[in-house]
Amino acid sequence: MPVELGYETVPEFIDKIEDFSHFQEKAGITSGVEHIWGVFLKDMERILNFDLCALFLVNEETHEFELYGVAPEAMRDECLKELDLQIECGVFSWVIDRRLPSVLPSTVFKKRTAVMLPLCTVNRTLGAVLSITQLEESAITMETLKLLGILARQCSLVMENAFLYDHLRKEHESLQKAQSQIIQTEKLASIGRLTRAASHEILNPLNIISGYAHLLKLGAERDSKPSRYLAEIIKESGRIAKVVSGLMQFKGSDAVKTSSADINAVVEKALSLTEYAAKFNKVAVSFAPMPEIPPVVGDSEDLMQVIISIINNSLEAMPEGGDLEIGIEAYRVNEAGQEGKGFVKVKITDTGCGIPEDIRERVLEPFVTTKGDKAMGLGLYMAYCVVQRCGGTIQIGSGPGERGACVTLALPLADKYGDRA
Amino acid sequence: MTALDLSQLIGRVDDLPTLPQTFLRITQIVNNPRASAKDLSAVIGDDQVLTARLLRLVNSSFYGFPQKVSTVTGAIVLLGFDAIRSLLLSSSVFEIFPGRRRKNHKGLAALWDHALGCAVGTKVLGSRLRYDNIEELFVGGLLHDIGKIVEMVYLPEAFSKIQALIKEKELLILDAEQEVLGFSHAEVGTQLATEWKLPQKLVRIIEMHHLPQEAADFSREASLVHFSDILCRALDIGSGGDPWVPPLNDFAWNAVGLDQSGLSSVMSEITRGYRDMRHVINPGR
Repeated sequence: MPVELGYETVPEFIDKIEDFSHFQEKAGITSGVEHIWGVFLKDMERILNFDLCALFLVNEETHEFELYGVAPEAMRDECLKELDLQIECGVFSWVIDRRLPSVLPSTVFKKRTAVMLPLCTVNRTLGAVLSITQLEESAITMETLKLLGILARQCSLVMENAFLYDHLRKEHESLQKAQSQIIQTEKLASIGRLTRAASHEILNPLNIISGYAHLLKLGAERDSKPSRYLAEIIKESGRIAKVVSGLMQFKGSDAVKTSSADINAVVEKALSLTEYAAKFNKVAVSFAPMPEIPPVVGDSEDLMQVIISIINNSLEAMPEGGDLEIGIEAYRVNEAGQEGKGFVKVKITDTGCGIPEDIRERVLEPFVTTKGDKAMGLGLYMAYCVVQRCGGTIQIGSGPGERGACVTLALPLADKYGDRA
Repeated sequence: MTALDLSQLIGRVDDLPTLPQTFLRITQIVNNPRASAKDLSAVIGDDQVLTARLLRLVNSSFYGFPQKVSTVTGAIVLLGFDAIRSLLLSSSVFEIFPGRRRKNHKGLAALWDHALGCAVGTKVLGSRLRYDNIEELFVGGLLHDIGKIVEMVYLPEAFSKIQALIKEKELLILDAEQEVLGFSHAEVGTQLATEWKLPQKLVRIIEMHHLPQEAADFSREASLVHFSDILCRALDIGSGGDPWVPPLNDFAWNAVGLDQSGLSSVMSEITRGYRDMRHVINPGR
């Protein structure tokens, strides 16, 4: 080719570069990898006639290149083989280190050419594109190589931004979740303080009222109207006292932090105590104890009451029969994803009527119930108080497929085990 | 000796070294975006010495490519057109200056050694900063003191006087040059690079390797060369024409962004790289 021709091709070359600079308009930061890859493939087709084009992304945790997509999909196996061979002979990592497009003879496809495009920014290696073309090595032009480099760079930038955005969004979501949990906890704590104070203030005058009512009743004529009224007053006062002492029962005590419980045994005991009711409701119960699980913080009796009350809720939600499943898992990482003290998750799932969306947020509060007047709505509140006192958490959600309910207790491991769970 | 006019020196054009014809043709091809690897390899392939040198360089520790690259076409598509041009320039620049003054042979070799060390250093620093076109940085390092070589070969008397002045008054070479010639090796190098129609970036690097902050768009590249220049003086690789280590430019230090521990690993990498490259490139002998 005469060299003079070169000057005419320059404006065309610049036009192409300009086209590729629109990459960021076609795929913004909110677009997922799939969209970016689609845009990339379209642009790639304009540079090179390829038989195969595959995107590999670096896995954040393992730092390995993983196949994201191949066009056409049917050539997946050949593509993986090509990459394996290129990795094996050390060429792939060399190209990634060099961070520029490289063209080499293909190892899998005879007489074809492999084009490798590292996808990286100054800070980070995101992945690589591997493409196989019938174009001979010697026919590859400076323009092709330059355009490949520009395209790879544009794509890397958009991809890095999209990853950063996604990361930020997730962080934001988990922060929001944590914040709403804090608000919920605070709310429950202030309800607890209020009820304790109020209970105390109510019980004192109530004792006086019911005391005088007793005295009056002693002096009143038997079966007279006043006597019947007084009996009513005494009976209703007793009811108030029962409700109010129910609230006082869970006032905080730190002693629980030093006691520990075998969670397998606790669940087994709770199940044996509810066995009859389960049979009566035709509920199939499944529980697989987790062997060799270290003890958790908490009093066995208290924890058993918690589990019994959750099981009872489940049973009542399944009057026509169903399944109740209890699972135990040990974790080392807490909700926020930080590594910390280990804890045990007890997951109780049923296939009952579930908890209506509108009260799901509030079921842990006292006097919230789905059972109408039959119940006081203190079961889960009590469970919450106990778990909270152990330093654990309790989460209420729906079961698999948005059916039924799922209660998850997270209980910290007892101190001397917590660090090596 | 009276101060010599810079243009007077450069005016002796027919005397000045020229780049090989092949290199000019290569530049023309590289400037054409539609030129294929075949076009370029045809030109390089015509020159057997160049072909051999290029393949030796591509297969050297400069790249550490895990397989043997046996064809020029393979090298072009593997490394890219620009890289090949820079590599060709790197491998042929030593041949451009005839060893006309036998008695200065040793001095010339020392200057080239310094140039090669600086080239390796610039490449090492560039790779650390994940700079894209390390081949160009390498050439930049190699050519930064080309003006000194011109002075030594074409103005031998003046150069001896400069050397004497350096010893006598303990001057930096830059100041001694001013006193004897009225211009510096940076200016001579710039003139030559312009004459050779080297890319703007290289011209600026040569011109501003003592004042990287003034190299405008290429201040980063000039900083790397400046820093590497000083490291090589400190490592005592070759000779920069005077025995002193010139002051490190603050701007360059910040542009390179190394810390103490990074510095020592860079220095050992340069020493190692220089030793390897000497066998591949063999400056001045």
